[in-house]
Amino acid sequence: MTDPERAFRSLARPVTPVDPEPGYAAALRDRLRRALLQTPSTEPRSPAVPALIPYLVVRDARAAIDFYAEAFGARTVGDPYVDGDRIGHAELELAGATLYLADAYPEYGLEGPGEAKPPVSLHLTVPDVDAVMDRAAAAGATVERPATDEPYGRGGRLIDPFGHRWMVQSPQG
Amino acid sequence: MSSPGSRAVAPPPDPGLLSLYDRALPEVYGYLLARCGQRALAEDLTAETFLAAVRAEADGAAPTTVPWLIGTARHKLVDHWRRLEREQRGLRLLDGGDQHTEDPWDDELDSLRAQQVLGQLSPGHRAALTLRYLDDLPVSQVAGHLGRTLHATEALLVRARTAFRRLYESTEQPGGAP
Repeated sequence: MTDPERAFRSLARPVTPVDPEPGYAAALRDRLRRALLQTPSTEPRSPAVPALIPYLVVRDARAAIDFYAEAFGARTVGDPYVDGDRIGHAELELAGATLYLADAYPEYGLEGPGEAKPPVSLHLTVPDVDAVMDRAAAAGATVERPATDEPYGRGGRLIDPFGHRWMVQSPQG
Repeated sequence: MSSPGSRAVAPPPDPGLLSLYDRALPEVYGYLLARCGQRALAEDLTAETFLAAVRAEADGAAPTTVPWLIGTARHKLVDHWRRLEREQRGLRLLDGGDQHTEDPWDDELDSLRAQQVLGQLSPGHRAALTLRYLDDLPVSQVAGHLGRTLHATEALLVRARTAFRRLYESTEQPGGAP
């Protein structure tokens, strides 16, 4: 029998991976990272402003927003207030909680943590301590105390790249 | 307020997609480049594909996978050809009219030349042949992608094959020898 498609069957082409230009790959990655940060939070936000909100001063607020997104899944809420080269104010949503941060404003006496151990810690409750600690460490945090099992649950401590301490904890299972 | 721990720190959506990115990028780009043959266009459609994944994840869709990205890339490619076809509609040559019979064609196609010929066809013919033969999709799925009925798609494929063959044979070197 005649088969008008016969010659065409040899055109089948399985997907063969091809690396694009490295510059293009890096630029697209950066674009995706920014797009991901801008997608609105899927968690419904409580309309009431919590009475207590940590307000972090960080050395590089843009890098900090990226880090908290990568390590803890934080998303920006609204557009950060941009003040020249600095971020004057940014609101992040993190595990349903609110976190504010800004670049340092030495002229107002607002500075990030120095070399000394920070006296205030951020206590973060997560379902999987090890996964979050690993992700944070991979994103540049320093593990101050690896995760251990304690009577009250599993937890560890880390210092983020901006000098703030996080106590990562999962409730007793 | 919710009790501690009830609001899970979800696996961050960005590392999810961004960690898949390194592995998926060559797949998506390779798929598109092999079908559209233009670097700049493949780059644009690759970016559109990944940005669609960002939107899908924000809408709470299932986590992105490589097959999902390839499927989305295919949609982007078809959309591109459709736009192109609309732009060229006024200029397009008649493509063989009512020809609905075909002679069998037993040539062994040279893949490089076949690729060049595909690039010269009208966007509609190119889309139909690419989906049917390069992607090896059944006619029903080709019809779905092109937004046509099965019958119209079969007719389109006949015309596309005829146009392809005519162009392919017209570019053949005389005598077939180099």
